[in-house]
Amino acid sequence: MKKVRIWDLPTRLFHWSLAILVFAALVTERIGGNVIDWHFRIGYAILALVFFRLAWGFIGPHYARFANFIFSPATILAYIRGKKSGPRATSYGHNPVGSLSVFALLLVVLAQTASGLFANDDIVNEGPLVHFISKDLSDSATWFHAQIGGNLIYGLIGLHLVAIAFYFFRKKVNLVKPMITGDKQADSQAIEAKDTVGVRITAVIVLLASIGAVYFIVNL
Amino acid sequence: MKKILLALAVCTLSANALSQVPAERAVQYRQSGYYLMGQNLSQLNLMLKGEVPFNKPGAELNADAIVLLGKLMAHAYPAGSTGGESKAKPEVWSEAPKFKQLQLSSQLEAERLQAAVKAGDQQILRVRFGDLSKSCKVCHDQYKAK
Repeated sequence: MKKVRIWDLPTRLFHWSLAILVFAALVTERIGGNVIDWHFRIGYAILALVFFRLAWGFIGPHYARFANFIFSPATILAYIRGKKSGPRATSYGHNPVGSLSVFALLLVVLAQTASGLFANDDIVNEGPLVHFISKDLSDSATWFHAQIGGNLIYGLIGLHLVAIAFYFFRKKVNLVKPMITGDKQADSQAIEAKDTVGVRITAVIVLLASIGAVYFIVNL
Repeated sequence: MKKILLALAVCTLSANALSQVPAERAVQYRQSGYYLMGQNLSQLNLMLKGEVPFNKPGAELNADAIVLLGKLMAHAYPAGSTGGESKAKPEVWSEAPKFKQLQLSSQLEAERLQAAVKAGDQQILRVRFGDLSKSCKVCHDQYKAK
């Protein structure tokens, strides 16, 4: 056994930034009034983070890549039934069930930010892309944003926390610590995630490009 | 445009007369009123955000309109005036005293906004604007169907 880098720094920063910003989006929405301006800005930042993560899923280090944690339904079912055979035995990244959570969260957060761009509050605030669509369509986007998307996010976060607690108390595995330090105890053949200065610089460039893309979108 | 003309036409009726008009007309009256209110809020908002240069007479007109429309809306929910396009929940009538109380507090916020426009301090005006939009939302959350 040895200490192996699993989560590269950009992936970890993405994770914690997303957690903090989702929480901040929730709080600023609840406060309302002029603070809603911050809800908008936070939404833009979240969208940029999601863009970053989508790109990082293709060009990031080993365990951050989607290819590393896209599993067939058969593999997922087998994993749930407790068969430890297959690729699981040698991988330290997202397991087949956890991978579903990652994709679901990314998808739902993307849908939530995208619908926010087209939403209106029927008072004075409206998303930056409302002028492209009809009022009825904007009302539908608002309905999704306020009635559906938020609840889906709460549900997924709940599952996320329950899974972490389950691993911690039942399986005696701490999933939080590796998401902070980046490292897990692994056998000597375990693949190491590249987390060099070069990787991190690439991440900064990808993030800047993501921010640029969001800036472009909200100013359309 | 149709909505605005309708609002002007119905405005000429007295507030009490609204209770005599068919439900459908009362709903149109309200929606037209809120449409105008929304337009005035938006125009003011653009000025406060600096997207349009601030001009005091314009802002005063907006605030006066919001206050007047608020007064009209206070009498715009006669019993049974629902159905069709209306997004007003039945609780508007079943919890009438509570609803009226919320309308009143929005109206007070509107009047404070109006006073802030007249006083001319844009910092305070921004705060008042936020307070008003917040108080609008309280009713939307409780009494407007999604």
